[in-house]
Amino acid sequence: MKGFLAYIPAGFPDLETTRSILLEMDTLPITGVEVGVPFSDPVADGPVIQRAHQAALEQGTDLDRILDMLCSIRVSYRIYLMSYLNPLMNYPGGRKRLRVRLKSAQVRGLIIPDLPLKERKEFDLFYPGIIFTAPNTGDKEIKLINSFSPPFVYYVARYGVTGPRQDLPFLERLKQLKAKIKAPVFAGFGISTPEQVSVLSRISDGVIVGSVLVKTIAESSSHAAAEKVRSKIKYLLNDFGL
Amino acid sequence: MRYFGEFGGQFMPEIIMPALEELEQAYLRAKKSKDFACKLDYLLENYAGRPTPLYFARNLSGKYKAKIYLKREDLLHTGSHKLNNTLGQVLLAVFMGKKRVIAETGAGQHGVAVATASALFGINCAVYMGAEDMRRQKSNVDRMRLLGAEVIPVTGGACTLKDAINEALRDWIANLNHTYYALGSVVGPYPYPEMVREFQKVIGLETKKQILKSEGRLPDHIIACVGGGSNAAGIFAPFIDSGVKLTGVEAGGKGVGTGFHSATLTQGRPGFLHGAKIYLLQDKWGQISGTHSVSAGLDYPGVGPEHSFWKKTGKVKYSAIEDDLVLSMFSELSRREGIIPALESSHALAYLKKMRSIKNKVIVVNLSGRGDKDMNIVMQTREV
Repeated sequence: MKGFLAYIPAGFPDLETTRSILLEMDTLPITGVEVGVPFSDPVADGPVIQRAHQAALEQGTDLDRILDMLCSIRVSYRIYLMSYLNPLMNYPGGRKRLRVRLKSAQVRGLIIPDLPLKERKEFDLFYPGIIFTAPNTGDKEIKLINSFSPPFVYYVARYGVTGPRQDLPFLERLKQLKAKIKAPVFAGFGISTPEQVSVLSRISDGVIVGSVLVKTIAESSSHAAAEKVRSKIKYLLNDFGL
Repeated sequence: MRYFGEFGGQFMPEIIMPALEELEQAYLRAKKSKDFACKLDYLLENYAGRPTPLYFARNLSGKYKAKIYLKREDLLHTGSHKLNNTLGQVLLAVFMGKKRVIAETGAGQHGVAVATASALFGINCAVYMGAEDMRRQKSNVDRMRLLGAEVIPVTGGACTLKDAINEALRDWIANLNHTYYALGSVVGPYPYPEMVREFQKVIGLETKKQILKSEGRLPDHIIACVGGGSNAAGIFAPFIDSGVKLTGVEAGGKGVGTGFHSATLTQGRPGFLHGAKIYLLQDKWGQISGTHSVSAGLDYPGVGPEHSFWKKTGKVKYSAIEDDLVLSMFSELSRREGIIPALESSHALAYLKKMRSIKNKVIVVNLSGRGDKDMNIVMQTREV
């Protein structure tokens, strides 16, 4: 079976709903969930996720509350924390304390969209971090990626911000990268149909799906959100026979 | 330089990194190219109107009992120092073979300057501008459109400069191959802070020559306003470590204790925004704070990494001036010298009122722009 990572923004529409979504997802054969920490200025994200971040912040969602919530659940899939750099580096208790809290919340790694490889080289990241690659990532960088042995590598499958799309560009490049990178490679950005999931799963270690799930949450009432997300993921996984 | 001490860097999504590398290579080539320098110098002199005068403000000097000089960037074509940078960057875009230029703008001065340079070079131009800023700087929106630029309203966040930069970056991420992003200040990831400072450094280099000619010595003090910090970086750069006192003036808004201000260096703490480690106005959780200033051009929660470095090392002092004092200086310069200053520049001028030992000092104030664009705002706030 191939991998599937779901992006769920914490605190959207509220943390209680996020919690029930995360618990519901434990009934699915997924690899993991990227729990999104809301940020005021998510530059790599399109309108769907931007609105979710804004709504979560208006709800008073902060990193401590997110970690409290994660500590209160037990799930069998892997949990990653996706956050822009500033909320992590300015965590009120300091980085040492954040490290302890991340561990006790069973967070396997950090996904930081504004920490590129070039900065990562000399950056004192206090926790395991995944690494991004893109269609334009050079061979020189790939050597460096392998030297980090990250939990997984996130392949950004297109030029643009997050958001549902129908097409699948840069498959050849993904194949080349997959052959050279030692860590598991997951492909994301714009993945919204079972066909895309099926094709990408054949040439990578799995897919990452975000905006289309966030849209599902936005379009359902909070008590129905967990079930709606579950059916959406089942629908996306359908094509490769689970 | 990628870093200024601990500040700066390239904290951007991985997908932008090759484009930053391409820009860096092109910029370094242009820096060495005689052809590029020749073309830019020609335009600065014949199109933009450089050198701008260093004007001895007799009436103002009489009042403050000091020798006050104004570096007249307000006389530059399009009405502010912004054109120094956009002529350089759009020329670079042409050298790189890019078909389209995008930019963000706050007060609209950078937007107008990019639209102007784009019209001159016959290149497509789109400018992102916060919906709130479009309302308060309508005349600049009209100017950009007249110059052939598309002005795209930004409705996310607080609808101001910070959000316009977010939106321009998102556009760039989607169109890296054919689009050049002309950032308007000494902010963002390397090479922007260095490149924009280099294009603006002409202000300081001219000032040095001009003051030596009129006074036979360097000034005691140079004052400039700081939002992102491009006019200040431009006039300060040649005077760093020269013994001249340098002061950057930030927007104190309704008062630094009120939360309604944009005084990043005096009130912020280090963090990461728009690709660089810089001083930032942020809350306890690292969320970027809302800002306020009567001048849209200073309404930004961050500041350039080099200013952050100058602040930390004490090479430049930073101070914040509140809206009320700024507005009174706006009228004062108009009445006393017959010069209507931009609200941004009025911050630098208003610092004269706060200086303690001013008597007989030789002081240069960077008059970064003219105030025509601000008439609506000023008329609404008080009797001029």
